[in-house]
Amino acid sequence: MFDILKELCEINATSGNEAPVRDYIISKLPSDTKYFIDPLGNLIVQKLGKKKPKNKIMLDAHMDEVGFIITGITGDGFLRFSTVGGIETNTIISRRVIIENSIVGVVCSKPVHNLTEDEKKSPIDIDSLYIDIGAKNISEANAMIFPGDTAVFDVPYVMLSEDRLLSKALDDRVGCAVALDLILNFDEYEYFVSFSVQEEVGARGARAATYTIEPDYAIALETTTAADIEGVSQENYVCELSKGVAVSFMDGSTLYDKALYNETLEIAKIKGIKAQPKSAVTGGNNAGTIHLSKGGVKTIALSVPCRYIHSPSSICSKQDIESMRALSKEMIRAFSEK
Amino acid sequence: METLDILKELSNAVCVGEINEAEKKATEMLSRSCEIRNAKDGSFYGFMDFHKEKTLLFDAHIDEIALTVTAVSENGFLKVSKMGGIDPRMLPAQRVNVWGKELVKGTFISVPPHLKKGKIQPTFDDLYIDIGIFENVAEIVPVGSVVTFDVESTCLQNGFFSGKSIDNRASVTALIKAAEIIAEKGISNYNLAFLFSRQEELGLRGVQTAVYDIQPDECICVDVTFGDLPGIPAHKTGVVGSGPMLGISPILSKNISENIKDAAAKSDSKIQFEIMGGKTSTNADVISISRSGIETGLISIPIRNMHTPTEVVCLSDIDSVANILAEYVKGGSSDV
Repeated sequence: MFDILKELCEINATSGNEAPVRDYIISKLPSDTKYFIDPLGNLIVQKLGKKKPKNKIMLDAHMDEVGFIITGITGDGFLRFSTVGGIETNTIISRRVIIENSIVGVVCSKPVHNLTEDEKKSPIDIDSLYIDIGAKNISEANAMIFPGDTAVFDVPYVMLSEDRLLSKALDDRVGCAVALDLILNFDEYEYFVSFSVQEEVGARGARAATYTIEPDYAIALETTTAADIEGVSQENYVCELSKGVAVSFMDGSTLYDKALYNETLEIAKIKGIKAQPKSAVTGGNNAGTIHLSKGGVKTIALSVPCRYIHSPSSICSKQDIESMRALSKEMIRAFSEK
Repeated sequence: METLDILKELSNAVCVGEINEAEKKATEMLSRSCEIRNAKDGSFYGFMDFHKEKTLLFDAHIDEIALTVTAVSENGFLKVSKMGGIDPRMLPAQRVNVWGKELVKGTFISVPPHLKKGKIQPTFDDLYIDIGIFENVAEIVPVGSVVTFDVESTCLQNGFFSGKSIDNRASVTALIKAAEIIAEKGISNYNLAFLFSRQEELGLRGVQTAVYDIQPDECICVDVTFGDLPGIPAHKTGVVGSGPMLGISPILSKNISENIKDAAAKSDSKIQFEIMGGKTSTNADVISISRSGIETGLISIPIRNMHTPTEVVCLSDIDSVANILAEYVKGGSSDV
């Protein structure tokens, strides 16, 4: 699973341009797998199982990562851009990016010597940032880059220690890797997997996919902010690395069914799977649009704790990813038999 | 050697504090053109004895900006101080190499927006490094360990190049290339010294003791300067790719500046002007007042994003510096 995760993280695919991830996943599916691609680009897989479940179950993992979109070119050949998904400007300046998988550029940064005292203390405005690809002028840049081209951080996937990995796009290639691993190895019951698009721009793909699949139960496989870092006090950690998969009771877009939430933590306890509550009401994910589909879908969110999410240097714990896989299996079993 | 190959190797190597990878590589490359000597303070310089009366020193500092570990927290995070000028605003989530008992990789943290407590820009007090290890960290990374930026250099379009430490490996590259050309042509009106000075970023320190020992008669310092960027007024920068910048300042030698200008014209090299009212913030400031004083000139290579892991330079500007220096030694101010 971790070899696949590395390969997934190294694919460059931001919202609206998820095809490379989708193609990779398809290439890993057994040849007789039933799947189709919907009008938005969601990859919907029907995983046949040995037993027919009493309820229709859907797993969701989004294929898009946060990134950038080129909005224009200056007279000198620098590129203007906006973010796709929420990225803090402090983690954008002085980074390398790759545009449409082929052209490398760097996000410029006004040297501190040229800043006024006010500028040093103010938020960095994205409109003041440019990407430099080394073009001499606008016509040269125009021959290579088109407004609407997308870019992502250009950084490698690194193992910091046996357990901790450092990469871009852990949100949500982790979810994709877990879902794909289940498809390849877990066939006790039939279930559906939505590898969805456009989560980072408003949980959009999942909304359409859920409408199509019409599940009774849904499990969102995600990553979430772990703030267990120096300078933050314990009660603000949200969740902690290596303490297990985080289960949400509430976030910015969903108030999770309390009985389901409790049941999930209980099952984790009984089965000896490390799990923790996500102890903050922050963020949002595809569960937000999934649970409101049609007349409503019973939904839980399982998230791998992720430090520095939405930056080029996110860190996750391998153990937590394994816990998410283990708990997903148990929840598929539990929901199948309800 | 190809300019790109030299710069790539030197940009990716480290030279700060006790880590002298880049110094070793640069000295080895320089040794192919001339004899290598040690100044009394341990710095390395190349020497070409043309049996002339005067010695001309070319200086390029070889150290880079970096950080040092000042403390290890209970949770295994590293607290750091800067070694040289670093803008803390660009540190969140920046990848680093930590030179502890072993080399470990890590990243600067990034505090989630909802926990920032109204502090808009981070300071070094908030910026810890996460190395993904939480046990025995103080043993693996002793206090005082050096931290450098973890980035592999890359080529952009049009002979533009991006990586870390282009300040000042671009200049070191220019010196190595100049030495190659001069050694091949075998013509010089001076004995020549090519100095890779240390600790410039901490306050123009290493060059002071090295030059005191070498005692050149004249000196040309090669460094980097601010390149053009949208948002910076054009008159405050040089245009990357339009040639190196000749320094003009009350503290620099008018003779040398004129001679550099001539050498640029004779070698058909593009040149721009960087005019300053006093100190230049380069080694030239201290070289010129070494012992009883030394006539000093300055050539600066314009780069973008100075003091970040994503500095950008144009390779042709580096070649121009090498050509100008090779031309300079043929004439210069041998009557000074």
